[in-house]
Amino acid sequence: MNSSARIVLGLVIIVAVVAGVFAFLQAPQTAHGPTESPAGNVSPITIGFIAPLTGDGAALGQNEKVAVELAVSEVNMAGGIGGRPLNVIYEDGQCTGKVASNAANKLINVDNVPVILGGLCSGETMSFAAAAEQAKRVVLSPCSSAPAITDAGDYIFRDYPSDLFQGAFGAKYVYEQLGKRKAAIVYVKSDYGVGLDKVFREEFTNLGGTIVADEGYDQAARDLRTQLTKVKASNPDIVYFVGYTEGSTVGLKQAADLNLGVSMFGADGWGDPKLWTDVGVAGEGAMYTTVSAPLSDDFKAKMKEKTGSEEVLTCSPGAYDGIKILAQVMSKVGTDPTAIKDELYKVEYIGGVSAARVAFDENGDPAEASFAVKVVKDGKAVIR
Amino acid sequence: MEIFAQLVANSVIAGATYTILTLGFNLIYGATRFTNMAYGVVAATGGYAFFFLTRTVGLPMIPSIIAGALFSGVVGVLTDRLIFSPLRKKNVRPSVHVIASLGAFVAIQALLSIFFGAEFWTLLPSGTVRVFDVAGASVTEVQWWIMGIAAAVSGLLFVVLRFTLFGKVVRALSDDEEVGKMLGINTDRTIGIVFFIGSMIAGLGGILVGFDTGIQPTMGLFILIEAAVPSIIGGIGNLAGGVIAAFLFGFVENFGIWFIASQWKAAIAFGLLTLFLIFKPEGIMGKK
Amino acid sequence: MNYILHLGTFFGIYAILGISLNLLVGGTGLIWIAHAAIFGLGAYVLALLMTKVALNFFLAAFLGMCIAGIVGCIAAWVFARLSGDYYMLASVAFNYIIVSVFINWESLTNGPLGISGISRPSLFGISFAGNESFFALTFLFLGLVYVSARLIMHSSFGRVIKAIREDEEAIRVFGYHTLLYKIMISGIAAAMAALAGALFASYIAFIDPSNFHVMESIFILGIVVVGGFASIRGSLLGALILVLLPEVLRFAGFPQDISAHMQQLVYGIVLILFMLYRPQGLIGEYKF
Repeated sequence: MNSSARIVLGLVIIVAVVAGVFAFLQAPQTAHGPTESPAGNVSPITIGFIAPLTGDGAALGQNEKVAVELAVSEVNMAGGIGGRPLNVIYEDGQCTGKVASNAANKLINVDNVPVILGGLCSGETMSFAAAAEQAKRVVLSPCSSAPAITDAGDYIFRDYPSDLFQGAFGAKYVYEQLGKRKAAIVYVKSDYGVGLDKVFREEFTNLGGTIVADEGYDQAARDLRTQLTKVKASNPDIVYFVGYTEGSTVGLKQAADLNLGVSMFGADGWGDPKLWTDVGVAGEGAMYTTVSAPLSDDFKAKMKEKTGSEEVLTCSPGAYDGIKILAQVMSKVGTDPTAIKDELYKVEYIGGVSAARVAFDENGDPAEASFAVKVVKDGKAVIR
Repeated sequence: MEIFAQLVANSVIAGATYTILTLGFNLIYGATRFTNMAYGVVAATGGYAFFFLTRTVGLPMIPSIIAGALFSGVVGVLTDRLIFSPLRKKNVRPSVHVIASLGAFVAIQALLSIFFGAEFWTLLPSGTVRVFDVAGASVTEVQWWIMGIAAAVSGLLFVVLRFTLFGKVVRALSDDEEVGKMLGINTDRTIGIVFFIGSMIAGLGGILVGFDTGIQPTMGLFILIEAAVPSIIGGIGNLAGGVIAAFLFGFVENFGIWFIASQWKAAIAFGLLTLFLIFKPEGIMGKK
Repeated sequence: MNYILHLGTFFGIYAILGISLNLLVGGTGLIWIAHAAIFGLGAYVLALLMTKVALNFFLAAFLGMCIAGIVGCIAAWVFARLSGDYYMLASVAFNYIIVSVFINWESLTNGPLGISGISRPSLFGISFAGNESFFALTFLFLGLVYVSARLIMHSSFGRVIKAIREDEEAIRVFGYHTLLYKIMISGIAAAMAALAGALFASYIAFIDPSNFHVMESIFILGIVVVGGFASIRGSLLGALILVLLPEVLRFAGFPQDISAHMQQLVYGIVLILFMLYRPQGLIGEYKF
């Protein structure tokens, strides 16, 4: 065996052993749940954060992270939580169940956080909800919209509405406001797309409309021409197109290339401004449903200062409010997760940037949700 | 009938893209006799080089395409010099080459993500692309380019392989490396050149895929599959068979979805591959 | 402590996967890039049986092993005539098709939404819900798998398998029905992988198709490569290194947004270096 290879292998093993020992030394402190801080304690309160910082959805996750940093610095500027500064440990969930589950396990067992803000993708949140529930730690997701999260557990909250509401809202809007009767659906085969497809189909049919085509595409697919050709052949009045930025960029362009000639109607996955600059004229006139967030000018300005972009992405307002809500709750009841959980069910947060009023129902879902429809004009999405 | 025309157009466009990808893959396979798993990600580096040159450096289109393809060629040669050439000298089994190429695939994909980020980029601003109507089917300007380049690359490659000394050497190598050695051919150097040309074609394919849809670090695996499936169906190492199979693949994929729900697209491709592997492993034009 | 238990449990699951894949790869000498699909099959069968018909974990895991074992046998039978690269590509195709089924057979698998609420095992009133007891259970299974794998490799059956790897023709001349041996070892390996899948599903309590992609199969193959072909002990070592590697990099403090890619980069380079300098793995006996 070559000596350089031997050195590399030796290094790998040494680093592995060091990390193991390191983790072991960290571990004993975590045998029991977080302890209540005695009065006058100024040690930081640490909470966890999970979102895709790389891979699918990384743009949303990175923007969300900025919003969290902003909220944390504001909380700390205002004196922290009962005098203790708030500290966040950021973990990458990669929008993947396994990775998020690992990250959550580290946050719960090594860092011993009482609360995890996240995940962003529903798959992330679902992967560690059971573990968090078992360890009695609070999870507050700012963006996971899968209907299944409603029943994920007592400690699992979100300040973002379930897809059930958005899909139904979209169907109703298309049928009643736009007066369309024949809809074709093109959706991404992910928890998000499948959920919206189902709800939209049911609601639209119930209202009396017809679904003339219902085509899924693989999340990694970048050629939707055949799906769109089938949609074109079904002769719809409108296309309900559910996708993330990547698939939607190619899908909208290809729809334009194929001269589909009907309006495109999407969901909140289209909230990424990069989509509209990328598709250019192919996106003109497209509409999509979005959670109507009363973004304040102040919040937008501060986000712009940090990101350099006018746009605040979908998950960021909920994350910003989430930190503010958690700070408010922890100032009142301390850092015991069960106390935080109990208090969250009672909380009422007014004047946020994600909703006029945030409160949680008995399932930890937002008690109310309001949606708006945006339309794309000159490469920018504006409220219709 | 309009839909039928569109499906034919879609199939032909897909077939043309697969043709370019398959040619490079087949060329390298013929000379090295192993499935180079890094082929797709080498193609992706071409797309990224183009992206970098046009967006960041601000170079015009045509020079960027050439430079992007050359860059892929260089990356391909580097993988050969650093990994496969030393392995050849050790005379190891093909599986060692395959696993090493798997490592190169994972590593290069990670490098692309580190340098350019994991997100998806489109190479062409929308609205600049003209759309033509052909018998009721819409075909964009870019797609015409893809078909033209596919024809040009295949034609050029056939001429080079058929009528030049280098082509004779490569063909001798594809038939039997030992014979090549006996004839006094510097096989290592020839394989290096084959890697350069094959990877350049790959890079060109990567750029065209990028034009048609967009680029992403993970595109490498799809390109690999789109290159490998036709080459196997056509008889691996057989360039003409690969071209025919590329179009067959394009048609089966696009018309298959017409009858089956479209989310099964990947399964159709792999089902076709599996059927060929089992029942006709020598390919449609292969020698038994 | 819990974190160590968590990593320990993961190590146990991946060690089972590594050992089982090593029986197959080390035994037959063919590269199999579909172990994640079999792993997923075990996980899905367990998840469905536990959540839909409330079957006991042990019974559900056993049924999962049976089903996966049968699938493994069928795959081995179908792919038996393929060799080398074709076998590998067929396995990639197989992995894709299985994942495609996980994604698209929504009425059964719940599609991309995945299956949640999978509970931890319990038997005769003894619950393995706690992390300590689950860890112990995983290690018990790992021990069983380890011992049976060693027994298999050192039995007369194992010797025939090894002989097939070295020279299948010769063995056939001696009158052994080599296909039968290949089918049996595939079935055993698949059943073991399904056991790992059952443990994984029950431990994470949630599975979705994204856990079982081709990249995951490559990762499992990496365990075998690093540990050493045909070395059962090597697979333990390989699993230890590859499960700890991401955690090491996590603690090493790479910037968060590139640490995932750094992992991949290191992983790819490790694969290349092993192939170049130590193709038999750390403690393997057999040069691939």
